[in-house]
Amino acid sequence: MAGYILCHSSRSFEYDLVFLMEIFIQTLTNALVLAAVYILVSLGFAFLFNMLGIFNVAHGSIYMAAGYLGYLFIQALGINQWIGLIIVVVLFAGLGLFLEKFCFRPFIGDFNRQIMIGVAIIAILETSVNILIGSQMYIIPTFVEGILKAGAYSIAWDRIAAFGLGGVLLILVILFVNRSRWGQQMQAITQNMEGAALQGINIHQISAIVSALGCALAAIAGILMGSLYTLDPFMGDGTLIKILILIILAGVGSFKGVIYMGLLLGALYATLPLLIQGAASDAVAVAIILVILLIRPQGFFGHEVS
Amino acid sequence: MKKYLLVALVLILISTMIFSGCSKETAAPQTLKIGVLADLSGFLSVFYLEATHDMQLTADYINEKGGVTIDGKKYNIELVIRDSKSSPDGALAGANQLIFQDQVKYVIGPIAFEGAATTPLFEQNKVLHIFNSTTTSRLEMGPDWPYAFTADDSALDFSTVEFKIGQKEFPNAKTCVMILPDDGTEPYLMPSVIPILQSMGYTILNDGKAILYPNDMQDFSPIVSKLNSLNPDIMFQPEAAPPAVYGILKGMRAVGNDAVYIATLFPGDPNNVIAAVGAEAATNFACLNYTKDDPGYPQILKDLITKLSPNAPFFTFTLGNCLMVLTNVMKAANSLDVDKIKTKWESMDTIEGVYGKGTVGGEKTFGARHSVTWPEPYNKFMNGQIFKNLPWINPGPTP
Repeated sequence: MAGYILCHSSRSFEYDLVFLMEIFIQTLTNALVLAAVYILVSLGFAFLFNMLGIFNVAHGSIYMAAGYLGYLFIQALGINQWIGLIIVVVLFAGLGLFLEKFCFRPFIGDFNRQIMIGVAIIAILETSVNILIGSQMYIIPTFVEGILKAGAYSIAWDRIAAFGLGGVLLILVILFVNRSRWGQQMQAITQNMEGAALQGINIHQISAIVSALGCALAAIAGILMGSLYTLDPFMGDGTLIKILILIILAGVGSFKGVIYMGLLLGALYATLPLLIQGAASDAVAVAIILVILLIRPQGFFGHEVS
Repeated sequence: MKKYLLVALVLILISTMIFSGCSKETAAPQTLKIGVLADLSGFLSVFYLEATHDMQLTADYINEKGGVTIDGKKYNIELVIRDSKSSPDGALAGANQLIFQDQVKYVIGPIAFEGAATTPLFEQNKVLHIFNSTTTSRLEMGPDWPYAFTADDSALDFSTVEFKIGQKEFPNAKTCVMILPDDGTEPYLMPSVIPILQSMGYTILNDGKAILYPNDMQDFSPIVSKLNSLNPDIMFQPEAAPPAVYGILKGMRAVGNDAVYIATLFPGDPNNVIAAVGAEAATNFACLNYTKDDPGYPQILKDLITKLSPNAPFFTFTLGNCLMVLTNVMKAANSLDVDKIKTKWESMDTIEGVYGKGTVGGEKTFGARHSVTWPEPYNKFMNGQIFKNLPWINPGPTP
């Protein structure tokens, strides 16, 4: 980063410092916003995977479809942004219930069929988006307009709002997992499903709640992403890879690991493209993750998968 | 005797009728198979699904107008379309199918960055292949590849058009940066564009290097941070998919930077820009793209636009133009022989296409006259307002 700044020999040191500070603030904001999106979308995947061992490869597509549906309500139908967000979240929570009952529950413990079902859901969602909304790039109108200016520095309000919303949701999810009865039952199932069932916990009820919650969180992340960046029909594919990296780094069975590793991934993907030109930045990010996994193959917070 | 004569006459009459029927059959149009390698899946499919559809419209249009007449024989075009899957290995697989399974001798596509994978295969098998976009890399086209052509403006031609737009519309801009996807274009393009920029009085920031981003990047915030730190007066992006342009434009305005931004934005109904980035961000921006109602279009393009579905989100005849150019060179060569078509193309000064009359060039850039360039339409955005259908800018022949 300094190389970019210092290559301009005509600039004064103070001028360079202001620019370095501005880049730092922007990068920090980018990292936090990215982390919030990654964590929100990954939590849903992690809930199902950790609790029931369901490997939902369609989670990225669910996130993409929610973004497009958000666009349909907010931009095309002119519904207020916040109301549109709530409608999509409710609809996707319903989708989560449906998927759990008909697509996930019958295939618990059957990895091959889970993948096949996931691929089918991806195809259905991507095709539906293409037919109903079209395969064009869209952007959802910003939730909060304007730019916060503080001296020489400026940050768009929508980024601050996205981070704020993400942060509030995370706190609510953490409280739900740690303090609520359903959350504690989730943790019990994660630790030992059979043991939890023997204690009278209704596994199907909890997995339905978790699936609805996961899809709702993915919907929020998809709409935030569509508002901050661009919607495209294949945005779920790249996101799925980031979800998998995050889950592996966090370690199987860990919810708090998802949050810490989301922050790490956000920092990596916000910083590396600044330092490294072009596609090499992606390769370096994955290489760093590979090195981390060589040191801690079980991830940072979970247990090793046998 | 008379009876036998009568029978013989009837037989002669019948056989004459049968043979005349046969000759009518032989006069029916034959099929001319032309291969197409387009990204029907993957991140580029957003563009190429529509481009392929519009190419089919062009083929239908040519067929409706009587097809392609070569040496007195009429041919109807049949497109054989294979998916290049937005990746070099996908393109190579598609090229294999087109050559060995479909037995085509002419192929339109793939897109520039997939060309390094497909060009050697096409050349080994003497398949005439036409890019609709090139990075000017010698891996795609050049003296070593006699059957590689391009029938649409290259990244170099788009750059020239963008620099001319910059001078015309934003004459006060003096410092500039180039932005490119990391698809191998930079090492070939930058040495060509730097002298042009310098001759126009621009100072190139970032030590004359382009700002590169991964082809499939979604979050452009780090690129925006880089650009904002360089603080150019004007940014040129001669090769881009719409998500990159929208991401950079919206991102720059979000950090309060109003630098002029000129980018290719194919496909394009410029109204999409406002929908994508918001009216507030759509300022100091110019993009190369087409509108449905440009009065400056040649008649062929006007005819083709009438065939588009009113619900089509956008149109792009970039592949259709390649097809039109190929068939016109075939007609001029009066042959379907690949070598004769190649020789004829190299000898022509202009070729008719969907966009009107294209200029043949490319001796310096590609080592042979294998390129055709076209004037480009553009649209300007100031304070959320669109200025459409501005006079087209001609890049001139590829050097």
